[in-house]
Amino acid sequence: MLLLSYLGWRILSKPWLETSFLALLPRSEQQPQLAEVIQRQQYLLNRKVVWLIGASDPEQAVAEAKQLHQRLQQTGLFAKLTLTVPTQQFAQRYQQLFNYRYQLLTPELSTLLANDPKALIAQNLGLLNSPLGQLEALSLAQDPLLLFSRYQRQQLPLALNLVQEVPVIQAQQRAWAILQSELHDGHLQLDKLEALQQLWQSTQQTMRRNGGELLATGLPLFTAAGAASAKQEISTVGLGSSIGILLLLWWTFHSVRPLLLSSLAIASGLGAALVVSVWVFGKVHILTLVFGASLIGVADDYAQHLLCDSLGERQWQPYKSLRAILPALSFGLISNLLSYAGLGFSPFPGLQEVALFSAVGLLVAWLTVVMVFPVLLTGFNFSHQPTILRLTQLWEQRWPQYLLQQWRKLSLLALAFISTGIYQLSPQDDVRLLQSPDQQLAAMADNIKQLLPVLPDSQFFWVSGQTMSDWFQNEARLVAALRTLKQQGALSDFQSISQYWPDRQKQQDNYQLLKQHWYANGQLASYMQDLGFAKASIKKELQQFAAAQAHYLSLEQWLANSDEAKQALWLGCQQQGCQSIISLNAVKQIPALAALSQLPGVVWVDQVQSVSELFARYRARASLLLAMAFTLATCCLCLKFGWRQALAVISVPSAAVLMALACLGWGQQLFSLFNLFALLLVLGIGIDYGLFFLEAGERRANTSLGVTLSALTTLLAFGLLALSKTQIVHAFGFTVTVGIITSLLCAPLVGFRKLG
Amino acid sequence: MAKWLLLAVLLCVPLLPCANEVNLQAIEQRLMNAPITQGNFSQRKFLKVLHNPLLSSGRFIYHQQQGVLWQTQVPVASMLLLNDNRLISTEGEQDLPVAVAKVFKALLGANFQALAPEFTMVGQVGNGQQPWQLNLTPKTDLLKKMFANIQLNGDSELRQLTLVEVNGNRTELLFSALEHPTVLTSAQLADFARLSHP
Repeated sequence: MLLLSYLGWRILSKPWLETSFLALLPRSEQQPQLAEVIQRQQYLLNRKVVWLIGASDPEQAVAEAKQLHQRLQQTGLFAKLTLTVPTQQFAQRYQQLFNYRYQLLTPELSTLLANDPKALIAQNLGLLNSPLGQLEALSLAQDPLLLFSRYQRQQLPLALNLVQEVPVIQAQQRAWAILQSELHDGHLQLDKLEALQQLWQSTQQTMRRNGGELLATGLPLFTAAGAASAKQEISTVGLGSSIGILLLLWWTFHSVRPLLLSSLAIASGLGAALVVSVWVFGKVHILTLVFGASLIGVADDYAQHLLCDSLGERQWQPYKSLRAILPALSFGLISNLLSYAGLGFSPFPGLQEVALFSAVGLLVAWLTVVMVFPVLLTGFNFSHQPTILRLTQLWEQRWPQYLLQQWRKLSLLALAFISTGIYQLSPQDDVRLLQSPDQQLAAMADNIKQLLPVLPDSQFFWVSGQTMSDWFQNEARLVAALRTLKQQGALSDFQSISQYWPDRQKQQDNYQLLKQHWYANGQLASYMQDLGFAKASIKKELQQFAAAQAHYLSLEQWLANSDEAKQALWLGCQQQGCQSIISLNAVKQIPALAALSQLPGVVWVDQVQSVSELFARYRARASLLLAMAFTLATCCLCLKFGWRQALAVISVPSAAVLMALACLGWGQQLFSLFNLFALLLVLGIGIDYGLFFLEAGERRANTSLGVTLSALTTLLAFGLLALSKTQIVHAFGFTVTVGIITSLLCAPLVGFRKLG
Repeated sequence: MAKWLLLAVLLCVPLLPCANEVNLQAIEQRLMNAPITQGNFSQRKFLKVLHNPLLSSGRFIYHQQQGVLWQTQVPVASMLLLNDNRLISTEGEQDLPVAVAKVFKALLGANFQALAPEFTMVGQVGNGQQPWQLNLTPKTDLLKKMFANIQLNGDSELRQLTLVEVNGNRTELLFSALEHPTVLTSAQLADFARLSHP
């Protein structure tokens, strides 16, 4: 114990709680290179939060945004806050690319030049004659065809209106100022997440009180909301089950000792589980703790069984009692450990944690009961008749009698209920449903997506090629297809490098297009003459064009002058080739985009989809695991007790599992991988109850009290889990609750006929 | 004695007619002040790099609430749609500061209240039907970077608008065939509706 405390102190002094939901996902089964890309993309998304500050007019919105900016800065949560767009700075940076204006045509312009070169004249006249075409008119002297002016406009970040350099959009009867922020770390600590959650809520309240509105979106907010609700649930589940269990025990034993001893068993179990999990995994996920909280109920089984064995004994000898029930206790432990071992084989790190956490917790709780309880229970006296005993006797004697009398009718009814229920069961593996993100946040994220494309979607394209030019051609082909899909409304926008940077060949092609249609055939001279340029200007322009023939802008140079969002798209050239990302905004038709992965060198990355598929596959595997656990347990029991008794014991969890499935079907509940793991627990607990009764012999009264107490405590723990707002946790709780109740109803049948 | 003299001068100042101070109210009273104005425009752009001015003409509609619809017909058809918050053209959304669009709308509507915070205004108002003239000098940094000054000429209507840029380029606008319908046509309404869609 001392060793454990010391280790605990050493290990838990470091940050040990994991709250990111992504950490629950298995490491990508795909190629490591792609896994790296996904991780990188997620790291970017995990840090970004976008705030939209809404007010009745733009000035007000900007003023509010500046205040918010200050407030966010003071929190120290953010590594970067971007409110103003340094247009001037961008313009200066892009100005460095001016020398390459004949090579850097926008894709639209090079298409126009190839198809209808003279249409450029009309376009330019339209631009120049606009009463507000001052900027174009200004660049005319340097850039008579307005080539670079077009390129620059395409590149400027966010085609939005700037008010005092702050981007402002107009929508839904409000002006919205945009504030972009980046957190320090992709995986925030719990206290930081709490701070973020509180900051978001309080700023929104302040803004609304002043008649404004605040919208925000970003993965960190979802994580924060998830962590806040999980934390609240842990407290509810933990507190609720602790209070319930304490009351139940006091009411039964009229003594503090069982209460303290049960707490000791549970506390040492949980403590050891936490320490070992952190030691093995480095961090424990918050979801593990939620599941772990339910361990309280199971760990209690052993304590209750031993305590209740003392019922009615004047001179109770703990060691003798322990010897009598040790086989049942040990078999119970082994069957539970077997079911947890099943969890441990799943590739999901979260479930491995749950398995280890629960297995260690149970083992230590069992050890505490077996080794420590007899010492501390010396002189313990439980000779009064607790009220609950009357109930348990009724349940243990009358209930099986009733069942046996009515068995034809009841089994028909049960058969009908179970078969129709299971028939209605429909598996659901969509990870979005399982995660059940905060409704309000999800609605807001959709709203913001409609307003502006600041945050890229989680889906993206990964483009690669053997050589630089292979890569460029692959990407250009994809970009052309995406442009068509964008016009068809399959997505609102996308960002790629090849839109802005043509490769060496394309740069030469662009130059040749201009030469062929404008500079070599006298078109440029007549265009400039018509506009009213001086002869000297025309001559100078022609000279500059001729001098620029060999110019080539390398990708490195281009990236150096670009902004961060574009730089993040380039993944570089390695031995395997060159690769980049194309990020997408407001994707509406996933199948249409996914179909583009047929193009050479293009990989469609949809983590949500692939995780959902993975869930489905492992749901199938887990079903197999459950069947295997059943077979394994039956075989074990057969060896020890013979097939008749083994069948009697195993019928308890069998009925429980079938009933749980039927109730899931009837209740139209979510049925996923996680319910199957709950069924594994039901199997373990059901075997426990069956075994306790099988081994009870003449002590059925004590056993029934012990089983009832442990079932009630388990129900207190799991029943409360069913109240969870997180779908996975709810499904887990619901399944176990139905399973336990059914086990409780079936268990007294075991060994009943032997007596009566 | 000097004190008395100073006091007398100070007291008299408000009474003395100031050469540059302009009676905006007098101009406002002369203007039609209709919520909708439409008509023809002809534009001459004098660019320093070009020998000849760029000539264009077309139709425009000004609506007090909705904004301005500017349709160039000659030499090429193009369109500009703007209000206090947005600027949309044939080429798509513009990256000009929205403040410029706001000023352009206020200029077309001769909305002195909206112009007052942005410009120092001086000018002359004649008596009776005599035309008036206003000269605007930017006060804010953003506008100072773009415009040296802006001139407005008119009588019961705004007749001429001249934008002189810091770099020496100049835009002259002449308005004619002005009328004041009470409602917008459905086509015009549809155009303006584009300003409120994302």
